[in-house]
Amino acid sequence: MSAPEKNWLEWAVFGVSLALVVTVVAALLVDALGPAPSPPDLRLSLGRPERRSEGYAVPVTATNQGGLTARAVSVEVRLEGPDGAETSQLEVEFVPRGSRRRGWVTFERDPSRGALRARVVSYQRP
Amino acid sequence: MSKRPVAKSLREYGRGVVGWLIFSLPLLYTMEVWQAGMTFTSARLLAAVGGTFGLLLGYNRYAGLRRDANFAEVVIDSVEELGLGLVVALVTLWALGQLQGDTPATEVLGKVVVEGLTIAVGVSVGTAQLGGDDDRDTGEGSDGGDERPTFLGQTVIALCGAVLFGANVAPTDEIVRIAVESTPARLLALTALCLTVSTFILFYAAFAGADRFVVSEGRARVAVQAVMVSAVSFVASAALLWLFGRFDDQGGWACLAETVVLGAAASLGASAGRLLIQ
Repeated sequence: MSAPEKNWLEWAVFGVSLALVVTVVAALLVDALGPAPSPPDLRLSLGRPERRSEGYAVPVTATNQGGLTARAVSVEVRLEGPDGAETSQLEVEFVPRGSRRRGWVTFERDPSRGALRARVVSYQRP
Repeated sequence: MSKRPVAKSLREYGRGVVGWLIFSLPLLYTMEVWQAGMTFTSARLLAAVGGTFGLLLGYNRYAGLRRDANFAEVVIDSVEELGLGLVVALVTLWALGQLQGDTPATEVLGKVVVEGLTIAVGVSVGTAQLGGDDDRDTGEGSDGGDERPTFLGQTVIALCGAVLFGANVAPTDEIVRIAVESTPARLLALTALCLTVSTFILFYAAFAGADRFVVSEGRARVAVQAVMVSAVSFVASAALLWLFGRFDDQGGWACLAETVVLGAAASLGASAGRLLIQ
């Protein structure tokens, strides 16, 4: 009445699964037992302005260097040029820790003839 | 003491992987679940892994493919299902565009674990349910007739059914929305409705398996089952809601309302789902 023994395939699947599960649990344990996660810490960097069919687009990269995910991130980029100032906004839904998200802000004036300043306006806890 | 043929075990694994398609697919296509993978802390992910492993152990012990399995075999099966779930999650998330080349390791880990756990449960149910009767090694010949369902076993399977059904809606924003918009009277009505429906399913609708798995002599047993189903569904829905962060920063009343709203879905799992997955 005993159940049939496992064959090599089943042992292989079990071995790989065990290794995977142990690795995942170990990684999570190391992280969970470490210091408490720091709040989101967002860093912005702007790319070179690109000419578009209407206006100019500036690539924005938001990188989260903190330990918690930032949600509903609101980014404001201000262009101060010789013929006036202009402000554009970018909303990013999620920036997980260690991750970056990319997007563009657009301007009517040419950003290369002026100064660009980017700042994070607000974000929420996950 | 013959070894099981390789072709047969390959077929079993294949069946399990198809099982997740049927039982866990909605979760792969749900945005809130990927987001859970991004926002969960490691401690919460660990709790999820532990809870799922416990659930798999219980399901494989009381309802799985090999009912006569000893404890070691149940553990081995559960580990295999978890491993398969993680691999399938990795492949599917990549195919769905949720994992990019530059996705950092912590985000990959979170998403793969959250999805992998739900897939593992689907794999487990699929392996056990989608097979023909000739593939069931129930040990002593006749199917099920020789073993009477124990109350503990039925409670464990009811819990699995409740989680399986509840998990499909627990991560969605609609649960919170319904909960905060509803009134106590409505929640009470919802609970009564669910109790009625699950009692009907277990005792009067003559679902396949109801006569075999639910001992239905006497009013007292009906009451006991009804209480068990609601207790199990409230426990399952509270655990799921906590896991998906729906209790974070919420007041007591909101938590209670959410539990009742999700408990409605879970109670169907604890009654109809239970009959279907064993």
